[in-house]
Amino acid sequence: MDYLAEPLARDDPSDDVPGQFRLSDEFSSLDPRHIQVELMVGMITWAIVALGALIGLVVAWFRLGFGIYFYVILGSAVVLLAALAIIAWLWPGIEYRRVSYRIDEEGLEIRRGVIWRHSITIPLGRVQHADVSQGPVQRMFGVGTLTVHTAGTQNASINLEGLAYDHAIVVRDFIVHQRKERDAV
Amino acid sequence: MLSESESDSTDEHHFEKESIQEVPSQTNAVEMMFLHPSSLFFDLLAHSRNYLVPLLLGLFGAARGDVYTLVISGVLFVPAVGMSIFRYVTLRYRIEDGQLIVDQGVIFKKTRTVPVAKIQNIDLVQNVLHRMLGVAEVKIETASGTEPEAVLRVLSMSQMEKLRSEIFGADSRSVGASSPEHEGPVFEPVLYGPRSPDDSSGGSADLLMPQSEPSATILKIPISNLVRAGLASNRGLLTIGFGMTLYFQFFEQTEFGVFRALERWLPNVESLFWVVILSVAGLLAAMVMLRLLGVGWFLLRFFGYQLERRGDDLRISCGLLTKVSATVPRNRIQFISIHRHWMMRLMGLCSIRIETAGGSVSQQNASESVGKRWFVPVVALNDVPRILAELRPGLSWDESEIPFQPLAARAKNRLMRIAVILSILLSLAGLAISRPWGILPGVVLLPVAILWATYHARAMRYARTEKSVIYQSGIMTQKLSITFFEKIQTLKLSQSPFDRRWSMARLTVDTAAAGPADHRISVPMLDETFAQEEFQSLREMTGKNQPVFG
Repeated sequence: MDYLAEPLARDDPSDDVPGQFRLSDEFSSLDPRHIQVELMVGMITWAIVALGALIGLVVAWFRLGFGIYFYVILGSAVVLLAALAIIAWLWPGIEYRRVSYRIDEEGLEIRRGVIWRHSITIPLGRVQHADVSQGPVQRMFGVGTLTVHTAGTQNASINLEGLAYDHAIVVRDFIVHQRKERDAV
Repeated sequence: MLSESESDSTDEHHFEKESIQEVPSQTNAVEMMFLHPSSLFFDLLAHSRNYLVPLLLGLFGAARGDVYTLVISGVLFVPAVGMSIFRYVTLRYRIEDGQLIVDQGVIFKKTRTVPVAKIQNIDLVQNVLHRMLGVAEVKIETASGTEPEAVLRVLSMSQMEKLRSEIFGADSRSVGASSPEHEGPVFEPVLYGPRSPDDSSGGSADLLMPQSEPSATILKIPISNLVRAGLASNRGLLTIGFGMTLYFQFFEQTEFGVFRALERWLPNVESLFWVVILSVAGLLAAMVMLRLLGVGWFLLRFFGYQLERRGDDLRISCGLLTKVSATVPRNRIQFISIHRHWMMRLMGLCSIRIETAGGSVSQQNASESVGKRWFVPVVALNDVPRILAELRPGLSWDESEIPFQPLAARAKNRLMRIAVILSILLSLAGLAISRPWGILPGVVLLPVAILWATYHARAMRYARTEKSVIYQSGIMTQKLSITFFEKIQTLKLSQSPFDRRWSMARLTVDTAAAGPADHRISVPMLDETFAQEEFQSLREMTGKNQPVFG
């Protein structure tokens, strides 16, 4: 009954023969390397935040010395940073399990969300165009982002990050091809 | 001067673009045309928002004899003027190779190309100044909307005549004939300039109208309805607020200060009685002013409103000082919304708004907002089915027959819980500020919030018919919106953690160019299972109904 809570990964796309893609009612999960991408991004972000906190601590030390206030600030900063680190470490794995997509007769459907969950569907005939892009970290791990553009307003562009790059291109071509077939003249 | 053979796209062209720079004695040269010189003035006005502040500063500085503000505002004003001049000088348009080409800019060149054969509408906006100078703002639109279109601000009447003859063929004065090189309907020009004495149409803006099909007037709004709508609206609020701020800032301290005069004139206002009387009187005066301003705005904007249909085109013309004519091809309508403000409801009126796609996305001008946001500003409730049938052929509208589904059964409880929590929070906050009376706002809020929760939950309804999705919400202003399957772009089923706890879900429908109608089909607190089923059904229906561009 809980449509949005169904766990995924019935079909591992990295097993597919490159160049092939078919309509399927089954949901596929993202490429596992996406977790590594997110971990790395998380680590970099955490490092920046930690650096900022460090600078803040140094400033606080200058103004307060080794007094009780300083220790309080130091303590809370350490706790916060530790909490952030744990979250940054665990979150990509948790999120990975909650993202999936499928392309069936009715269209492209993407499910995501851990706490706030949703499922977006784009009928194949409504796709305006689709791109595949890669950020620098994604490039390191060979994953990419599929962006589907529609004529909608709120969901004008829908991103699916974490597909294997080559697979993303296959999917993109497939979507565009499907759309052309459905195009009413 | 563009010769006849050039407008025929099938002709061979013996020149490339470079020949434009050649000596004009070349007979095949394409004429590069500039906008009318008064465009400078109108462009300045259009961009006046950029320098409104320095301008106002300058004016008030001048009023006070303050040299410095004057100098500063002058310095800030000059670049704005410079930009307008630059924009004017660098904009050229021409018709070449069956395309209308508009070039803008020198360093960052922006070229807009509109295929002439696809041009279907030429909309015009003329305000008093335009009419005095014999110019108009011209907007050129194509049929499918997938090609770009152009706005030429402003063109003189003769320029427009030339443009029209080049676009629609030289023989356009004959009714019903179609020129060989042109696929679309032939347009008989009906130009307008300063209002002529024999103008019996009540000043409605005439424009370039296709004669291939008869036009049917769907609706004319009488002045009485405009007045009623004005009374019911809040249009005056912004004006009053702005005006009051300016007034208090600049005039109150001078001899013109009304309130100071009042202070001196009135008896000693220490008794509570007088204070109450005066505040009530002041409030009433403000409200009357508000309503009057609203009426004035509606009259100015929609005087002589006429909605007609020619074939698949809906045409609106209205306006007292600024004449607007807007064209809305029916198949571009993505979304229809009926707004019933409680005051209008009391008078048996409502307004209809639409959202269209495939037109210009950038410039919000007068014809745009009339064509969309204010599509039918006021209409009798009984007339709605008839008008909807004109907007969407085949739509037989009977509200009692719509298969409305209410929200989840416990939606009311959920809203009530929110209401109670908010009231408690408010009471606590109030207590923290001042005890014991700080608790009062929260306590007062509680019954109000509970009432609101009850009615609000009941006011939201969702329906899916054979061809459309319908959603109604709102208490004070009831909004009922319809979109059709082939207009739906994406669908979303979502659950917040609270939704999960209550076994509810939200269903959202996304359409193109959403916004102007001030209502979204985003149905909260639907029963979870129902929402999931609907999501699947809508997926299916949307996939089956493909958009058709005409």
